[in-house]
Amino acid sequence: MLDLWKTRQKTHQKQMFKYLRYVLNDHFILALLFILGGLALGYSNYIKALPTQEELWYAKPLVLLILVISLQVGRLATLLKPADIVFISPRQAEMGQYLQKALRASLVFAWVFDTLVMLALAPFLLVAAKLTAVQLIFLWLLLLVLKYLQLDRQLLGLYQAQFASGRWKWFLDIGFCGLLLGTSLYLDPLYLLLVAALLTGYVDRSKKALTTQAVFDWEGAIRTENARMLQLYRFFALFTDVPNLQVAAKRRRYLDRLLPQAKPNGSFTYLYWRALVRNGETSGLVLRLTVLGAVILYFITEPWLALALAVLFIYLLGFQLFSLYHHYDEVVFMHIYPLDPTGKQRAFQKMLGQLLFTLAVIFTLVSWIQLQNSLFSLEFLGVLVLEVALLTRPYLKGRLAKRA
Amino acid sequence: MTLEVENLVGGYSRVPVLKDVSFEVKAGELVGLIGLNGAGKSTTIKHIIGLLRPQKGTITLEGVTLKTDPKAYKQKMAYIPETPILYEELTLREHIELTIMAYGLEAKSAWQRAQKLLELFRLENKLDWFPANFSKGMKQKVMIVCAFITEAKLYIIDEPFLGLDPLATQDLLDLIDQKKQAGAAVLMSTHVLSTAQEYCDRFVMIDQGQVTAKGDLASLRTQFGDETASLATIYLKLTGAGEKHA
Repeated sequence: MLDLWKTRQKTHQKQMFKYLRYVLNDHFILALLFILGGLALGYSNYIKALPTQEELWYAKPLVLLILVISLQVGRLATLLKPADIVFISPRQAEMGQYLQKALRASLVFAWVFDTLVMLALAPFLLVAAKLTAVQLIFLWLLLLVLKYLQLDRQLLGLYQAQFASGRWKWFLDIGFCGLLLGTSLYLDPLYLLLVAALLTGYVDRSKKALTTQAVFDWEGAIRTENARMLQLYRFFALFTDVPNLQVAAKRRRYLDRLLPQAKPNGSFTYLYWRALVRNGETSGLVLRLTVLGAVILYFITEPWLALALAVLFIYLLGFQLFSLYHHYDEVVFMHIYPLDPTGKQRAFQKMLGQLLFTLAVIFTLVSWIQLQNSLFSLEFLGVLVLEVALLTRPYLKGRLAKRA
Repeated sequence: MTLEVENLVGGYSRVPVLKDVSFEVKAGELVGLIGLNGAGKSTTIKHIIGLLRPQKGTITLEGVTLKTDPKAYKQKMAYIPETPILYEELTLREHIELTIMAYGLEAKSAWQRAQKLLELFRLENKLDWFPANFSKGMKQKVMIVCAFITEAKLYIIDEPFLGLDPLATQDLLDLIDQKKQAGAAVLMSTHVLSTAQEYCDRFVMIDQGQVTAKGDLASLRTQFGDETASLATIYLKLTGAGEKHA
């Protein structure tokens, strides 16, 4: 089993490096250096400008928020594969060893990340939150212990489903960690470090008993691992083609009321909106680009740069959603049901147009908040609407004709 | 005459799989399309439902062809595929709604029919789920529900008995019978020959892209020269496969 872990880890690393090469291409590294450099400069100026006498009222809550969020980064990577249910399950008893290895590897990664976060926060904590250096070190250790506890919980979840449930996740990863980190910011972190260490020791001991007695939840473990890999792949998919990236549809019941209802000749509209909203890939794409675009626009003070970026974002989203046009082509009923084939393109154009128009309005509003120039915002909206019209009519038609 | 296939030549590429296939399905009858794996059953069905274009020959459904009036042709036809095919992002309710929309059915009465079928197949409390995550048999039941709420003149059912439990198989046969009573024609491909022998009114036997025999069981037995022969014996004999086993 330990050999299995080693080969799994090796192939996994190889694969990750392969993708990282695509992600960290020359342009991107250059851009990243500039962004990081700019951020670092801005941060150091900000720290210098802080009042040194008293503590900032929002310093501790802000740090708490950042710490709790960064604690959620890095999950237990078991590297299990679906076929393991058949091939490895006879060696169930040795899974404990295997998982311990997996836990250690995941822990190293997570600890490096958490340490970097702490290093970045350190100046702010010293200046704005008035922590001493010793307290800072204890806080850092507390963070590491909590991460260990969290991974332990995930490992236990593979044996006893209740630990993997959403309730436990909220209770432990966010509630409990938040409480401990929060109190440690206001009291002495040393005490809380002791509490956390004792608890982790206790969990660690009961883990040994559980991994030898309880039944390993193969299906659950593989589901979790697939979900984790999917997130990784989805990130890589922003930069390069990832084969076999299949994202399960999400129900999103709360959006049902917004979706178009059934009406005569509305089949394609009905289908396209549901595909857009519930398909894991497209909905994620829309959300990411909208949020990213809005955040960037909020910080840009140069009107023409803002407009250029908004145009770029709308183009990127529209262009990437074109493939949705063919989303159901493989479903035989698209060809067998008595549908009007000319309605397909119209429905798609309308759906895409409505979506991109909404995006244009959001971008305009955000840039208006920053620039406070109503006249320019009108022009801004005008340009974007023109772009949407061009993109969804002549440009889309050209692309579809080329493919046909 | 509901469906008429005349001198059909066709296939996936230039090399035809089907060589001169002719048969018909009348209103109120269940015709079994019988053949081994790869005999040309599915290819025939793909031509009838319009996924493949005939290279030669015609397919007429109540006087309409796919070329002259595709919408009317499709309106008259409902199809249950061999492997269930579902919309990944639609719930069961939405599959039914889409079918109602596409066929332009009257929503209220169609939902009444749907409700009955859903209860029959014990799916009535799964309306808001994604059938894409159902088991194979349940997915097939979804296909059956969607096809049978339409008021098609011709039902095409590809290999229906795989994956259905015995109870559901019987329910499906009852449903087919009801549709027959109501005047619809049903074409069913299968290689479960015992069931076919019991329920089909007539048979079309295909082997290597050609119709080797057609007619009801009695006339097939006469052609074969054995008044007690089962469908399986006749079929194996006709394909020549029986000889290798004998």
